[in-house]
Amino acid sequence: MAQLSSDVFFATVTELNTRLKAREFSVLELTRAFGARLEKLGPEYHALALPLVEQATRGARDADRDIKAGRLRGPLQGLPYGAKDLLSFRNHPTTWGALPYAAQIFDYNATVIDKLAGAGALLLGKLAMVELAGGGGYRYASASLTGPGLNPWDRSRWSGGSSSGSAAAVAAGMVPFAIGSETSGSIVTPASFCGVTALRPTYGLVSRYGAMALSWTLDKLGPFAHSAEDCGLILQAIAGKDGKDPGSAGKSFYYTPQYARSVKELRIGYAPADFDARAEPSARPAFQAALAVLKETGATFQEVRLPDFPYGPVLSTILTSEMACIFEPLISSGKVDELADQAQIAGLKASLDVAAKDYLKAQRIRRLIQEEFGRIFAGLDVLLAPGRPGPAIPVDQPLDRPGATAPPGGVTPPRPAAEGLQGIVPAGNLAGLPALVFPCGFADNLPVALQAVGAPFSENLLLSMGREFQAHTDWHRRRPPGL
Amino acid sequence: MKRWSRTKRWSHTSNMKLTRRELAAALATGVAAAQTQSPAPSAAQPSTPERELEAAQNRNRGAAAALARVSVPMAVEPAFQFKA
Repeated sequence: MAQLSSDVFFATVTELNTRLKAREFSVLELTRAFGARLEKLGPEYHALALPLVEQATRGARDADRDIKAGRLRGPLQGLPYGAKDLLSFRNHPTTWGALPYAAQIFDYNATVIDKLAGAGALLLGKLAMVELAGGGGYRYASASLTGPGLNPWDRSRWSGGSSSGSAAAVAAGMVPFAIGSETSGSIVTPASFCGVTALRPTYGLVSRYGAMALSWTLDKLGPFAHSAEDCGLILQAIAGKDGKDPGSAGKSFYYTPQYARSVKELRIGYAPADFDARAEPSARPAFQAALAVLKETGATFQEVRLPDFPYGPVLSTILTSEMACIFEPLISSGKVDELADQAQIAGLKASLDVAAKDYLKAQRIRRLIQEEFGRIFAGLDVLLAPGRPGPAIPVDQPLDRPGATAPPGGVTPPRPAAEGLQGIVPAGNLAGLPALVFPCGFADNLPVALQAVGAPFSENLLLSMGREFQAHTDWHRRRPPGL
Repeated sequence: MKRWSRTKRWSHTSNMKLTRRELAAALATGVAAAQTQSPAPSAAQPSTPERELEAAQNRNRGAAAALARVSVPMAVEPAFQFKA
């Protein structure tokens, strides 16, 4: 087997596709190289749930034959990828990151798995995650069947949750891209901590059929990759109507950068304090420099505040209620006690007691939130905020440690939403809004990121903005030391 | 600075009368974010299953209290649809 240079592991989808078509290397060589790397590094970073290298290798031979015969299927053809272990892959374990489901096997594929297969991509492995996507609330990063997700930039730091393995695997060059999920923060946080580009699509744009349900009205699936453009190409492959997902919006997505509005035409809403006083001191220079880059494009910036709603309670009530219904058999059977995290166990048990009236009230307030965001996006194109206020936290730090400076979503000292866009993660998820996360610099030698949130189905606009930012910066091309 | 207008229906931010416990619970859940959510900050972490459960129940109660303070017009239906 030809020895591929290490730059291949950090190449974008477009670059790999070009090199495959130019016969610089074969799909088989590429798959074997990524497979060996995934099997070596995946366990080291607690990022791998299930290797599927042998299976992908068989598919690689078919892909090589297709390319040789001129049967081209698009930019993902012949590219290996990883999928969060909450996605069903026929006749293989799908653990949801949790011990009670360690032996679970489905006899069907998730729709995104089938769609990516149709695009010619090769599933190289299932990737680690926080158990049950962390819906019960967890105290430690170790709340996972595969152990705490370790950050490729610094193994003493957390990779974020709940799509820990998806973000870490892309950041460490174990796969060119990966699929993760978000109910509220599970794409944004790990992408920010690991310094990769990721997209949370509009609710309903990507089918969840075959994915673990945590909250029917909040769950979304989206890509992790090396660039905004990659996210667009992957989204094009996985989006679309699916009658098997009742939440499907019935819409397709076509990545059309050629028709995107110029960033200088965009009206961007932001809260200056998010980039300064509300950010961790070490991250402020990076955030402000990134803001300056975007301002230089000529875009119009406008200071905004989020509408004043109790986003956290609304989101947690909806999620907790739906989760209780979904996992009631686990809780009632007592197998919930097999989970790794005591706080998560308690959260699941307590979820059974949430009143129906509170769930319905939360869903009614959500309607008002949705209306308010409709008004916001009548006057603005994008809301811009840091992905997280600071870099990844130590992996052994309790997520609710008093005085914690950079905990994951939900455990920062509470601040009124009116002070900035800090509530944008629960707010954006409640309103079903898309978000693009892209690295924008470093703090304490760890990556930090921005998130751009747009109106429903405005993915092309967000991708265009991310693409232009990445044309002016090289943060997305940086590689973790030693990798 | 542009401020997004609010109507008076958001009564949860005005004339709030909360006990410290309600306020702590409401604030804790007020920033809870689903998959990355964690228990409320506290000086002493719950260390037994019973205390963990009590803490989780308190968070849920806090969320319910926060919701109760939002006045929603009767015509506003829940944000999901039943299709016949």
